[in-house]
Order: sequence, then C-alpha cells, then structure tokens
Amino acid sequence: MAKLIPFLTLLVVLQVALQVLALRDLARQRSVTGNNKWVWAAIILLGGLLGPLVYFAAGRKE
Amino acid sequence: MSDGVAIQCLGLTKRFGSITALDRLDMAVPEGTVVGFLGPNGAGKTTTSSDYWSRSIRGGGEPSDAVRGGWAGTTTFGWGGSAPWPILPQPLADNSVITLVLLKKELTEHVRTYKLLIASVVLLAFGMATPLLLAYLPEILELSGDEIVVLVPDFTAADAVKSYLDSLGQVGILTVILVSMGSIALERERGTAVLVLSKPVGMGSFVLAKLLGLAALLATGLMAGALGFYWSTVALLGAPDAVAFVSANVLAGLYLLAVISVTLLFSSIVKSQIAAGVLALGVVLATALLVTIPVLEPYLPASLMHWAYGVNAGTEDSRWVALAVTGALVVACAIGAWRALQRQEL
Repeated sequence: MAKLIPFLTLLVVLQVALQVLALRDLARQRSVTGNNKWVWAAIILLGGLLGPLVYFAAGRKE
Repeated sequence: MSDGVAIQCLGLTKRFGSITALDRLDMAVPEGTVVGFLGPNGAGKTTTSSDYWSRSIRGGGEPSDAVRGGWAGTTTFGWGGSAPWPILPQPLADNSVITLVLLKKELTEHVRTYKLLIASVVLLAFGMATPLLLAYLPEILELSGDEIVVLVPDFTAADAVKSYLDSLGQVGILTVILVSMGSIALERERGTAVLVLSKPVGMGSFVLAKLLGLAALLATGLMAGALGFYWSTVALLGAPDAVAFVSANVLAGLYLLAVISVTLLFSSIVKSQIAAGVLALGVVLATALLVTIPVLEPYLPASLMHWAYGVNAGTEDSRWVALAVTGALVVACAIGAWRALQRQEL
C-alpha cells in the first residue's frame, strides 16, 4: 500500500489544482452560461476531474 | 492608370448576412500619394481593403468591374513600378501559409482558454489512476471481506492497458467532444468568425486550421495520458509492451480524431455549442450500438478500438477498412463544415 501514496497524493493535487483554477476563473467572469455562477461552482466542485473540463468548455462566455 | 489614379473603387458593397459592412463605397487615390485610412473599430477599414484585394485576386489579376485601379504607384504600400493591378507577395496568396497562421491562432486559443491544459491534465490523471485501481483491487477487496479475494486474479500490465483503452473510449470521447463542440459555433455566435473570414482567408483554411488545432490538442492530451499511465503502470504492475501500447494509442487517437471531426461538423451547422456537443455524443453512442452488429463492425471507425484491444492482447486483428473509412470520414466532415459555412454566408 505504501507505493500507492505518492500516486494518490498526486491525483488529489491535480484534481484540486484544476478545481481551484476553474473556481478562480469563475469568480473573475462577469457572466457565465445560464447566468448562475453557483450552479457552475457546484459542477466544478462535485464533478471531480471532469467538472473543471465541463466548466472551461461550456461555462465561460468570453 | 493613365489618369493618375492608383486605387479606385466605385459602388463597392460588402454584406455579411444582414449586416451591410460597405454600402456603395466610392473612393479614388491619386498616384504617388500617401493616404491614411482611419476609422473606429468596425468601420470597415479591413473589409474595404480585403474586399478590394480579393476581387482583384479572384479576377485572375484583372480588376473586376466594381474595382478598378491598383496599388501601383502608391508610396503608401510600397508597390512601385507600373503594374496596373495589385501584385501580392507570393506567400500572402499561399493558402498553406494562411492555414499556418490560423493554426497558430488556434493553438494560442487552446492555451489561453485553458482547454489544452485541462484536457491534458484530465487524461494524465485518468492514465495514472488506471493501474492504481487494478494493482490494489485485491487489497481493497481484502479490506471488505475474505472469500472474494481468491477470485481476483493478479492483474498484468496488459490488463491495465485494456482498462486504459476503456477510459479513452469513455473519458477520452467526452473530453474531445467538450473541447471541440464550441470550436466553430462559438466563433459564429460571437461574430469573431466574421472578423477572420472578412480578411482574405478561405473558409477551407479556416476549417482546416480548426481541425489541425484540435488534432494537436488531442495528440498532446493523449501523450500526457500515455505518460501518466506508463509511469504508474511501470511502478505498480511492470512495463507493458511499449510497441503495442504506442500502436494501441495511435489507433484510439485516430478514432478520437473521427469523433472530433464529427463534432466540428455539427459545430459548423448548429448555432449552439451545447447542441453540437449533444448531437456529436448522439452519433458516437449510435455508432457504439451499430458496431455490435457483426456485418457493420469492420466498416465503422469505432472498430478501431477493437483493433487497439487486439494489438494489446497480441492478436492479429486488423481493421484496415475501418481505418480507410475513418480517414474518409474526417475529410468528409471537414468538407461538410466548409460547405456549411459557405452556405450560411455568416
């Protein structure tokens, strides 16, 4: 199990980094698709790795 | 230019759909003069000059009726001599150079909108996670009970590759549809496509640059995924057969390229990027059903994935026909997108 730890840590770091990047970007946007930032925040936080991908592909208007 | 006029146009009109960018413009510039061409954004400065260019070029060198004269003799643009119509420097007229310029713009956009980064990290993470699950499934099950453990075999690197190909068939498809669905649709919605296309740029170059840009994004993402996968698989399960792994990735990549081109086609037809994404996903799911029919299987791009599984399993199970169909599909989709854009006249 000890071998697993660096990989798991890196996975968590990668996912959190993407989520932080997406949330920071979301906060800076003047308007988003559907005009509801909370829905996008939920998608980013609950969507795991795919959440930020969906946000950057469909959420940003600019 | 006997009358000493270097540039002259009479009644030059240009419409983009319902927008009339140039409304019967009359203009004359005397020979040997320096002329400033000023106006606020959107006034039609570029449209004037590009429309002038394109008419002059399309007429096979002879200015059309609407446009007479040439840049000849104007010190403004540095065209000396006595050529009666504009002579473009060769590279500017070259479609492949225009495509390259647009491709560079595409790549910059992929970086600026974080699409390249996110898609690569997502594939990297899925690649890395695949062998983790397999390597520790027995131990995870051990935590939950006792008897089941006996039934779980020790997984090999080839099992991990198979599992990674499964991910590419799911997460990979979702990823490429998400990054390409807005490719053309968004540019049309925002009107930036008009900006690009009002320059003397062929729509063929426009579509080709989109396709190449997305292919580059796909290649980068696949490489990130493969590296993540290889790294953790070597550490946890041992090295997979490198040649088979690379070949399987190339085949999966070609299938994903087909998915991209279908998405691009929808992106050029429908207005909303979400609709384009849903339609593309619908087509992919439909072919996933069709590929289960044995008669159709050898012809569908989706069977490239079967070839990839076969390469990994070490069986000679090629699908050359499907490969040819995939190539034809990509070309057909690009031409379709090009024609769709031409019809809409933006």
